[in-house]
Amino acid sequence: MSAVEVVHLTKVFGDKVAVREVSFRLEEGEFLVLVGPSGCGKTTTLRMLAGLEAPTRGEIVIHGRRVNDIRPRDRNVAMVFQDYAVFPHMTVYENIAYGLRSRRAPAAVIRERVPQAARTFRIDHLLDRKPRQLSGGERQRVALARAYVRDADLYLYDEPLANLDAQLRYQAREDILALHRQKGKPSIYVTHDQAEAMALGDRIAVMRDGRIEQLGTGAELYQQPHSRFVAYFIGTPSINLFGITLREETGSLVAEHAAFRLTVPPERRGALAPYRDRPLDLGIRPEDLHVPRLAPFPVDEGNQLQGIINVIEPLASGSVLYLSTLGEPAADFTATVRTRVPASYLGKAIPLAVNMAKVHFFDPETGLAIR
Amino acid sequence: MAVTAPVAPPPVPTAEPAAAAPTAAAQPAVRRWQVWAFVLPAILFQFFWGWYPMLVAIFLSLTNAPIRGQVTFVGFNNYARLLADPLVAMSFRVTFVYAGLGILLTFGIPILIAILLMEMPPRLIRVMMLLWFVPLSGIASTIFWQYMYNEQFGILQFIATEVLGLPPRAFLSNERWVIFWLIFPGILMFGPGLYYMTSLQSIPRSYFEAAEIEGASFWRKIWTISLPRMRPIISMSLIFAIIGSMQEFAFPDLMTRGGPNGASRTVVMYMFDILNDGRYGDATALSVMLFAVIMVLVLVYRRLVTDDPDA
Repeated sequence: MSAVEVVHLTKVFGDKVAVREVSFRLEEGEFLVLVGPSGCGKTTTLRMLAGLEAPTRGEIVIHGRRVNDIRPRDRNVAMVFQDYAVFPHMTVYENIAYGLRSRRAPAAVIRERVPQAARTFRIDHLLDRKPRQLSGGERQRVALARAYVRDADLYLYDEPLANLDAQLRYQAREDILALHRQKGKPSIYVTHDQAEAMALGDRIAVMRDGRIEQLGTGAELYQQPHSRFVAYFIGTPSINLFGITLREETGSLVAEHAAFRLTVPPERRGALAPYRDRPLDLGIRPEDLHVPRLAPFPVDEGNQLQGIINVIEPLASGSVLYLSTLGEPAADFTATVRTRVPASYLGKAIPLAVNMAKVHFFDPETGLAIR
Repeated sequence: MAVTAPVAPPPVPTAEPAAAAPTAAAQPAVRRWQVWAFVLPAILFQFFWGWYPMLVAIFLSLTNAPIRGQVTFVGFNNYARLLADPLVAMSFRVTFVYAGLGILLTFGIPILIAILLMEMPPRLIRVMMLLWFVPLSGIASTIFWQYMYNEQFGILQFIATEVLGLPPRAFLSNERWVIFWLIFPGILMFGPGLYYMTSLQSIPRSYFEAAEIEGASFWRKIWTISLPRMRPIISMSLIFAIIGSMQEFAFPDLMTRGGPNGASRTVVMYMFDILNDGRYGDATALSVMLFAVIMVLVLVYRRLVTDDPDA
């Protein structure tokens, strides 16, 4: 039996379908991230799990119990809100103790657990303060402590890091992960930040227009995206997409673009053959573009393209290059290379080797990947 | 009961701080001039309708305050005469009972009703807020209540005898009950409910949602979220209610003329009677006494109920 089971969950607001036919299972101790652009239905899905919205159709089962008609307070879930929802008129102690007191926990339990939860989140020196006197990061830790002080069956996070600055965000991620492991309970986490999703999720559900577009581990989403949308959404910088046409030439398939011609590896031939002479979308991850001299595969005419460097962004581990293809109309693309490219290359055309074993092809009409 | 317009006593300076002017020293001369230009109308208004009448009243209360002729300084004679007048003591007693009972019976109910109304669907909330805006004529509703209280034909008598089967009662002509029956309409007319509703609307929804998920019951949410968040507006409304109900005049005057036997004659009503006798010095002295009493009440209140910095 799965810890959490969501079956054909649908939510309709007026004539707008916010969530359609969302289904997934969550095992005990699993961390699932719902990620997607704003308005994709991820927060609505989370709110239905919490009981703050009633599903229009579908079922939510937590630990074998159908909770559709059960009030939020009887579902035994804990939730961390984007604005933290820390009560401003209560001290940190009272905030953390709120859930235990609501559930009439014995005073001894409250006295023991509240300082312990505060210690875990390094706010035990602030127990007598009011939220007004706390920083954003401390307030967020109060919200985490409030969620963790009692034993919920399911932990829900609604973009809890969205209002923190970058430094605090990494620290808070660690806090969330550490406590998730300690509790060993299923957790569902909503974010629009794919990097956060990749860092936190055991599995990730990419949502779009109320549907789950793809559900899988971060590596699966990255390496085998089901669709152009998932391929584009996951990964920074985003995947480069080129409109190409497949041509049959001397026994092999060639992806033909105004600015380059790339030979399709023979093992991809089977799936791609039906698309001969038809337009396709070719996806190349920025890190699958290599400086030819350093490419981990043999470079020839069939796996090279040229680009003019517009911007060079140095990184600790190399450079991000922002380039344009040669010819008109020029298409912009990005490459992450392992070498520091000197600024003298700006405005110059360089060859780049494409790792053809890792490129993706998408049907331009359906947006689905062709494998 | 709605706050009636203050009659004789000068307005009590409320605790509201004046709009904070920027620190003058840091401002260039032109800016400072502009600051004064904005503040001056308010200061003049306060002076001519607030402080000046108050000072004049204090001065007049120490004189014979004739309409024309020589103003004679009489020291505390007016006050001495008032303190010796048993009707003054009685009017203060009536006022305290009226204000105390009135606030006790009417103040909490609109808060509760506002909270319960906010649980209704959004469209109903808007209708309710609109209804609260509907202007009701105070005089018209007072006359309406006079008919309701009529001992022979009034609907309340009908309800008491025919519906509830109780013996007929003398609503406004019973000395023991008259103040209660004067306050009773106020229980049904929902005071500053609109303020409460807007204040409730400004509470972030996530507070209630978090409380709900944390296991709070309906009443616990009200007690731990709604009421604490409404505290500033409740505190302010209570001050106005105290000030207003200590100056109750129009409604009881129209309903009972202070009867029976002065059992519903408030201080301001008695002041009005004295004025009608032409005893202007005594009337101003009484108004200064009432002012002092209200001032003490407000100061005590401010001492007991401190501002919430977390509001």
